Amino acid sequence: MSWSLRLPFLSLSFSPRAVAVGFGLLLLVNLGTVLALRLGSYAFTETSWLSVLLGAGSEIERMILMDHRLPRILTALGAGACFGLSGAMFQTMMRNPLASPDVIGFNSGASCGALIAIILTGGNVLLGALSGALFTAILVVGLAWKNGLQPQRLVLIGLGIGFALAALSDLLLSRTDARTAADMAEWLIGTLNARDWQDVTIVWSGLLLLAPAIFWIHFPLARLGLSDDLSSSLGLRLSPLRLGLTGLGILLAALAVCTAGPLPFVAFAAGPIARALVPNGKPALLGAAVIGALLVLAADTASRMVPSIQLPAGVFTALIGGPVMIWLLMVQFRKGKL
Amino acid sequence: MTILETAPPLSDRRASARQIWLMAILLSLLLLSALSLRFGLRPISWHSIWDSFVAYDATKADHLVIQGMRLPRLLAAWLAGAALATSGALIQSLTRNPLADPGLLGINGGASLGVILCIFLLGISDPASFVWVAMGGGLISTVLVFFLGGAGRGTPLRLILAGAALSALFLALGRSLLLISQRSLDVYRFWVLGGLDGIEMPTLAALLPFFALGAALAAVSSFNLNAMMLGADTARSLGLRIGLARGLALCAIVCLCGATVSMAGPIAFVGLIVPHMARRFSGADMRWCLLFSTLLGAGLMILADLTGRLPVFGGNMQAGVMAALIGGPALVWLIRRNGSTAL
Amino acid sequence: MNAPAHLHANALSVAFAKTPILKDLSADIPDGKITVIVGPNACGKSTFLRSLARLQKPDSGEVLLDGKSIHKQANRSVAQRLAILPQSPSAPEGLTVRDLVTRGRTPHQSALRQWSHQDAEAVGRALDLTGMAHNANRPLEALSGGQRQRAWIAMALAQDTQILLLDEPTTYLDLPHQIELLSLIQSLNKQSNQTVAMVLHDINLAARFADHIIALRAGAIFTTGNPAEVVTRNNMEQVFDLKCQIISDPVHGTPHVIPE
Repeated sequence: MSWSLRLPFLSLSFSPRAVAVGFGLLLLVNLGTVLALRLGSYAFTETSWLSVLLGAGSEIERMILMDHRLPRILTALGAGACFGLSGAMFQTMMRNPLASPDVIGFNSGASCGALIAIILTGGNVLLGALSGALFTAILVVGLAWKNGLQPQRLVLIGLGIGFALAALSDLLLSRTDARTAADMAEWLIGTLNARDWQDVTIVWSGLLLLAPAIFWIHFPLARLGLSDDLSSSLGLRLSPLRLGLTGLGILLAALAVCTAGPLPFVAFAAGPIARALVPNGKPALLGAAVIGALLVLAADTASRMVPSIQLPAGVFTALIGGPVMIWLLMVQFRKGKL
Repeated sequence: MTILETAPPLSDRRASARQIWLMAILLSLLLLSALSLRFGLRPISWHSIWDSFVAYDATKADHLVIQGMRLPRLLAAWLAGAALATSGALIQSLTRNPLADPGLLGINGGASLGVILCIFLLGISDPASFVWVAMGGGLISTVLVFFLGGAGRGTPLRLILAGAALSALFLALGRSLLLISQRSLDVYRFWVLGGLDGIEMPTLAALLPFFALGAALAAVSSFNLNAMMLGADTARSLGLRIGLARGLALCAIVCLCGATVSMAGPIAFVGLIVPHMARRFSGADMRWCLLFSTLLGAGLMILADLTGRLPVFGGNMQAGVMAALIGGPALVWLIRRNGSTAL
Repeated sequence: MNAPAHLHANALSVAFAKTPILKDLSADIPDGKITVIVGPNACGKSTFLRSLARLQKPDSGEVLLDGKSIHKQANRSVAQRLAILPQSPSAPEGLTVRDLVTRGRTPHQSALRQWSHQDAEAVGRALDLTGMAHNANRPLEALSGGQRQRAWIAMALAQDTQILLLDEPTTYLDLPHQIELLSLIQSLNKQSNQTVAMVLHDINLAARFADHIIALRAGAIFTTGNPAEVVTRNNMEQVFDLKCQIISDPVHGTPHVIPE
């Protein structure tokens, strides 16, 4: 069963289940956003948040909603989508569920860059994370390129470099004074504390800029699940394609890391959860993006709900995502899959 | 035994190259061990080292340092590196996934959570008692992962997803407890960063049975895994009981990693990376792969421990961190030189 | 319907780890015919076929597709003219037969044109021809070995190319299914004049279905020609080290090997 869309310049086909799941997930995102806007140390009533959003309400209420919660929520959604996309891309390309950027260490480049930036400039984490990620990407791809880009070599070299950079981060952490170290440690767990509209602009304009490339690459990516021989004989050029995917995946991960910190588990879990919802052997990039966004939003909202302890969002991503994944595993096992 | 014959015979040249590598690695391991006894904050002459073994004198500071600190530390590095690398090779072969890490079974996550709960709920702060708590935590979480992962009957994918989800969950739980309780953090940090510091002979002796049992189970598993590399069906037709074989290999990993984590805290990297280095020398045969992993893992840990004592790194850098700092570039170099091998 | 395409191998040499597999091998694949490559195990049959399909880059020599080196042409344009089904292909879990066959349309599609009328037609035709239409919505892993093989063939057919290369397409099939599959390939070849080249183990099946046989031995061509020319007592003994009698197949009149 599939539905087709045919326009003069565009033709696509969808499966009804994917469309239904997509609508369900979008509904969840909307519900979650509303809940996240309302809940917190200052709770809004069922209707007041809307009137404040439309311009009514006191100065304080407007400040809470517009300057604190909204940018934070939008950053969470954007960063989560980036994590989800990046994870699903790497997992599909490598045909390995463990090959997400947080597991194979592409995130540690961004983290290391951010730490160096904190030490050198005291602030400007963003620039540091971005340049750290790009530097790592160039280093890894440059070292892995040898008559083309072979996935296994890419992953292993990524691992080697990633672990070395993570160790470098530890080294830096142990060499600085206690206050900077505390700053760094919080950043390393991942937090969305004090996000402003600048972060929103960065992550969403980045996503928007990369969106055409993501749409374009989705088509060949769906065919990379076949073995190398087959996808090559279907006319795909594997090495340039893998290069493009790696670049895109690392850019997305860098966007997410520099706005939300290296939140654990999101990039790893989003893809498998999305595929479990629509098990049709396709990469489910869109699904992974929405699941990632939902996970980060839920984690951040949870971290705001307990203001007295101030747990960073990075603690909650696995606390929420882990049980979801375990539940899906049990469901699939009962159905006789896996 | 038919299973032995399933390993493809190597050409003579390849086999002799392997033996030469084995000798070279063994020699450098001995050299590193000797250096590790000799150097540190206080260099000790070869003569004193020798004396401390043959004519121990408790009044001499040099002898105390060697027998009370450096030797246990050296042995701990040996055991930790060898155990982690061996279990890494086992889990990668078991899940048929080159990115699998022994931590995937939830041992590190469970052990950390166990220690944190112990501090948080019971208020225990004596590192010596953490050994058994960590062991228990690792064991419980591995059992959970095993059953959630299909109890030996599921696909490797299922085991991987179950393990990754549970370990992330445990680590996050532990971390949130630490953020809530400053006191727990202070005690825990000492444990988790401890690495190979302050390990004493009685601890080693108490854990030795686990290492020994783990090594024996790993040796048995290497035969089984050689057959299982050919696929579950072929292995079954060779007379192997898949569920039992998987269970044995998992037991080996639990013994080795549980003992390591309770001795030296969670150490990443060695278990994931060293098997890839070992495969460059050993080829596809699991028995050789395990042997090389053991030796290379031990070597890497001793080297890391030794360089961690250099003044550049403040004189006392964690061995796990140094292992990643040294091993990462080494892996890149090996892969660029030899090309990557499939599992 | 299909653009004409011609395949020619010119002095191919391939070596793995310094062991030569193909040695200075030249061959022509006749247009619109069924060519079968035979030879003993490890004689380089598969490597030859993979070289023809540009999956194996030769150390020297070249494969010419329409007179131009296949490695110098755009991969996508080659894929519109030449399809290959490699040995033991693999697909992601959960993929349905229809989705798999649709993947065969890749060289005719793009990110913007993912499902045109031609795509739908070609996929439907491939499913019908292989008799897989009623299994179209089942996931691949739920099928038997024979059905799965047909799904793969359907994917190669949906690619809608003038040249079709098959590496041991009859593996995993029992004798009736082998005959059925080869008859299907034969009728496709007769209907649409598609050029087919395949590797087959079974010399008797090769003799029955081939228009042209290429017999390889130790990485070089031993002899080529029609079945009657190639399948002789003398050739069989030299190619396969097989002592045999050749009789004429009482039904089809093709040569039939009876090992002694």
